[in-house]
Amino acid sequence: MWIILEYAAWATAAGILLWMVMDAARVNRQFNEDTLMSSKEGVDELLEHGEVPEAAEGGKG
Amino acid sequence: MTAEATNTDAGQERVGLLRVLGPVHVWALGVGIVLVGEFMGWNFSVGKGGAFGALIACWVIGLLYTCVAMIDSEVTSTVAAAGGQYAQAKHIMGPLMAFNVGLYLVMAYTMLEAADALIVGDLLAILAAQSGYESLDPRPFVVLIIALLALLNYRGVFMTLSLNFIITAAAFASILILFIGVKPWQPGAILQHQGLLTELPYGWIGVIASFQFGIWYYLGIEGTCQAAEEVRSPSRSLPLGTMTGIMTLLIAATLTWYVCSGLLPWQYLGQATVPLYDASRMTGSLLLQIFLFVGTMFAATASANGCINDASRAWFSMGRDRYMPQWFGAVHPVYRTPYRSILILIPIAVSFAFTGLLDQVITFSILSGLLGYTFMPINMILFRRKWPLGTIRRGYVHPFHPLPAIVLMALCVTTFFATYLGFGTQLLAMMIFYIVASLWFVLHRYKFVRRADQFTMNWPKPQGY
Repeated sequence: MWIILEYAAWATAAGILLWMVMDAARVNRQFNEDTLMSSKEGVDELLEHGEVPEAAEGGKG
Repeated sequence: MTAEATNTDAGQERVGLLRVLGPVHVWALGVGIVLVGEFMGWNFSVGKGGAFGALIACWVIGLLYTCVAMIDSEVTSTVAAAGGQYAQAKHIMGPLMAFNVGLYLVMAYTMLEAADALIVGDLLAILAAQSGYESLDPRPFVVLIIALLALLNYRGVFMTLSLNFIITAAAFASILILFIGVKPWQPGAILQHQGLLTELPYGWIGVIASFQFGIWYYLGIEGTCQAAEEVRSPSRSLPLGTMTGIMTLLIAATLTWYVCSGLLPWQYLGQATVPLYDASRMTGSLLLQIFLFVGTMFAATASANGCINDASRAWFSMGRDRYMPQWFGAVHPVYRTPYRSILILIPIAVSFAFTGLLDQVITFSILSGLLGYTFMPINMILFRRKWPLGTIRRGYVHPFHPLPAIVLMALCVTTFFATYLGFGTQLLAMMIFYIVASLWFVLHRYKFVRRADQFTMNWPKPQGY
């Protein structure tokens, strides 16, 4: 049984890795690189509707 | 829960990490990474300093990590960005320190992930041997656990850390069940502290030497900071999750020492592979053995899971700032995870794991972590000096400043000395690696960095500038 499990583990791991690589390739093709790279450090989308960021006081240094 | 991208003012779709986490996820991330250290590794401190030496290491290193948790809670509740200490270093100390800290984080977590996967593979090999199959190859299971957890991380942070909460809580419960199972209210019935506890076998130098293994009790609690860009309320969730996390670990570490030192002689305990599981076997209860076996598996899995989360956030954050190729700064538009960073770290973790050198991999992970802790007190003192209390809003203000920073620095120096006693060559090799990497960053990489863009915090100018 353990031998079968070893082969099953190899096959499942290969399948998972293949799916992730294919999904990543699909996303890379379907979406503009600027969109994929558009995340901004510290930007909170919940605060992008006019709320004042909690951590901010004063102007940008 | 929506996973749609946000529209910015300019009309371009913005895809960022998803803010969906709460304090329990932060707790699950920090404690999940660490708890495996209660199931194995800490006990090598017994081999250096005896049972009492290991208890001193448990509490002294516990103090080191309490300082880490307090400092991290204050800084990261203010610098709420993926990358954790990397982002802190970038804003407070500068790019070169940030690059080094980012690299410490990626190396520490990726190596720890590899070690965790090796542990899962080894445990399955033990299970196979007990069922009569002696020659199980652990490698397919090592790759499978890394692939499964990477898939989970790839598909979304909420499910990843919700699962981590469940398996971490179960692993912690197994320690509590063992503690109750050995009837601590009846000393001498099962626990034999009176006969097993001895004088310090190698004196006080042995106690100092044991500090390097005391780190296993707590290594990784600082990983809570990596969730900063994905928690709903950083100023509340991060300090709450981190401080409850270190409290949980202090309790788990003390219970672990108490149970193991009362069941196993220090000579055995000091070199055991799975001490808590061995302690459960000493009770003669099959149920406790099953609980502890499952607890060990869960702890190793939770640790690997949290490590993938943290290493990928640190790598992603460095990519976004162009400290690494910018390509890694992409976010999956559906799952809202740093998918390219998750993917690229899989072969690196597998290759570390395939070396099979668990002790070396863990040592390099610990040394990278220790370098990261040494930067924190300097970072904290500069943070308070440049932005004194009242100049920016903080989610948490830690008490007694600068005492925690001074204590942390003193304990880091002591632990470096302890590490030098046991792993001097590896320590020097690690230093050389980071010096070469720093030279590469300064001479080759930094020219690609957009210097103004990397400072994103909406803070006033620092005092003195």
